[in-house]
Amino acid sequence: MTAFRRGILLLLLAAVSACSLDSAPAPSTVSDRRLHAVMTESLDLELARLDTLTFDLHRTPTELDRERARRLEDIARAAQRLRDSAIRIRNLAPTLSLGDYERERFDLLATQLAEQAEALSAAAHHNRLERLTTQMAQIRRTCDSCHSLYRGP
Amino acid sequence: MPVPLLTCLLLSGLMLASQPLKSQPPTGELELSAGGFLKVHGLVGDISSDEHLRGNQELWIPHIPVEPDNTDSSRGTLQARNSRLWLRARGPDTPLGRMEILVEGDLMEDMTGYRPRLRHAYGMIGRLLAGQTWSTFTNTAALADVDSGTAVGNTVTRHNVLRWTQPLGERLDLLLALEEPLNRLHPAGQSGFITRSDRREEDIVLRLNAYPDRGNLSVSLLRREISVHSATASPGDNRHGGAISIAGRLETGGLDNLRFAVKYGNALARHSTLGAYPDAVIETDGSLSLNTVYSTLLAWQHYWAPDWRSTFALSHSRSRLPDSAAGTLTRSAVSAQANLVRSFGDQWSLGLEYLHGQRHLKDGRDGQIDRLQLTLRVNF
Repeated sequence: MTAFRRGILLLLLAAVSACSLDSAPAPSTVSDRRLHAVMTESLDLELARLDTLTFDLHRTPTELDRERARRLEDIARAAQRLRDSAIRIRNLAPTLSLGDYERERFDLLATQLAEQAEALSAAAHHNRLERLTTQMAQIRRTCDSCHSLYRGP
Repeated sequence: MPVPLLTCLLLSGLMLASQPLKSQPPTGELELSAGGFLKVHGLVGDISSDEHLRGNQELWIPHIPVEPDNTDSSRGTLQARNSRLWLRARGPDTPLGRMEILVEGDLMEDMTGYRPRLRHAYGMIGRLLAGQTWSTFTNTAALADVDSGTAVGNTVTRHNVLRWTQPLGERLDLLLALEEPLNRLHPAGQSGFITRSDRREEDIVLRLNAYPDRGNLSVSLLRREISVHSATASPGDNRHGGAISIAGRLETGGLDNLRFAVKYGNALARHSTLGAYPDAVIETDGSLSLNTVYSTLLAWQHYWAPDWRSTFALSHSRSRLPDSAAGTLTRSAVSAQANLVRSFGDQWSLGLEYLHGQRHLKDGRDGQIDRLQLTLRVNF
C-alpha cells in the first residue's frame, strides 16, 4: 500500500472513530451531559416510530411483527448506549464541586438512570411492548430530577 | 431443465442447508390471535352512472369514466367493505423454524353487498412461505398510506406465492419466489382482456431488501412467461419478459418519511396501475406483442404532531401499447392524493382525503375524477 493510500485509510479510520457513539469519551464533561439528553430524545422518537405501526394500512401482521422486532432491537441498543452514558456521567462526580450530600445524590440519580436504561433495553430485547412506555417515563423523571438539582441556567 | 423446477430445487437446497433436520419434536405452545379493523368510508365526488362499479368506491383506473359515460358530482357513497379481520396461529417451534398460519379477509368481494373476500392465506415454516399474499415484487413498506384505494404506482398484487427469505446479514435479506403466472392478454381488434394462468411457467421474483437505520430499500427483479395457446391453426406464441422495481421508504426527520417506487419492464403490466394495462396484445397472426410499462410513485408522510399526520402522494404510469391495441385501452394514468388523519390513541383514527385521478386512452380521450373522502377506522 502506498504512503498516500495509507494516509487516506488512517484519516478514514479517525473520522469513523470520532463519529462512533461507542468510542471512548472525550475528556469534555459537557459532551457527555448533552449526549445523554440527545439519547433520551432519540429513544422517545424510536418509541413514537413503533407506535406508528398501529395504523399501517398495507403490511401483514407477520411483516409488522418483523418491523417491530427490528425497531425493538434498535431501542435496546439505544438504551444500552444511554446506560453507558449514565455510567460515564456518574464517573464525572469527582471532577465536580459537590458536597458530600450532593455527591451522594448525584451518584444515586446517575445509577438510577443507568439501571432504568438497562431495564428499558431488557424490555425491548424481550419484546415486552407493554413495559416500554412505563420505563421511558421513569427515565424522563430521573433526568428531570437530576437537571433540576444540578444543571444550571 | 425448466427454470421453475430449477428454482424449486434451489429453494429446497437453501432450506436444507440453512436449517438441517434434527430428530427433535416440536417445542413451544400454539398461540392463537385475531385482529383487524372496522373501516367506514364516506365519499362525495365524481361517481360513474354505473353505481356498482368498484371504481365508485375507491380509485380503480379502468373505471375512471370517459365520454360518453356520465359522472354525477353531487352523489355520495357510504360503505364499510374495507373492514378487515385476520386470524393467526403461531408456533410451535420445529426443526425448520417457527410455524405460522395467517388468514385475512375483507368484504370487498362485490360492490353490491358485504361478501367476504380473501386477502391473505398462507403458512410459514421458518423462512419458507406458501400461500396467497403480497407478491414478492411488492415492497409493502413503500406503499403510500392513502385510504381512497391505492396510488397508481403502488404494486398491490396478491396471489399464490412460494417464497424463501434468506438473511444475508443483520440488515439484508434475499427473497426468492415462484408466483402464480396470471397473464392478461388483449386480442387485437377486440375489447377487453383474456385472463389465463394455466400451462405457463411460474413467475420468478428475486428481491434484495435492505434495512438501513433510516428506512427500507429494495430492488426486485421479475421474470414471467407471457404466452397464448391457440386451439386453431394459429400456432400461438410464447415470450419471456421481465421487470425491475426499485422501491423504499426513507425517514426524513422525526416521524416523517418519504416513500418511492420506480418500475419498468415488458412484463410489468400485471403488477401495475390496478390492472389497467394488458401484458401483451395477441396479434391477428397469433403472435404476441409485449406491452412495456413504467410507473413512478412519490409519497411524503408528514407528522404535524404525534397524533396528526398527512400523506401527499403523486404517481404516474404509462404503457407503450402496440399499434394493434384497441383505442379504448388505457395508455397512461395519474393519481394524486392528500390526506389529514387524526389518531385517538391506538384504536381510533379519523381522516379526510382528497383524490384526483386521471386516465388517458389510446384513442386520445381522457377522463378524470375528483373526490373527497372521510374515513373512520377502529382497530380491534
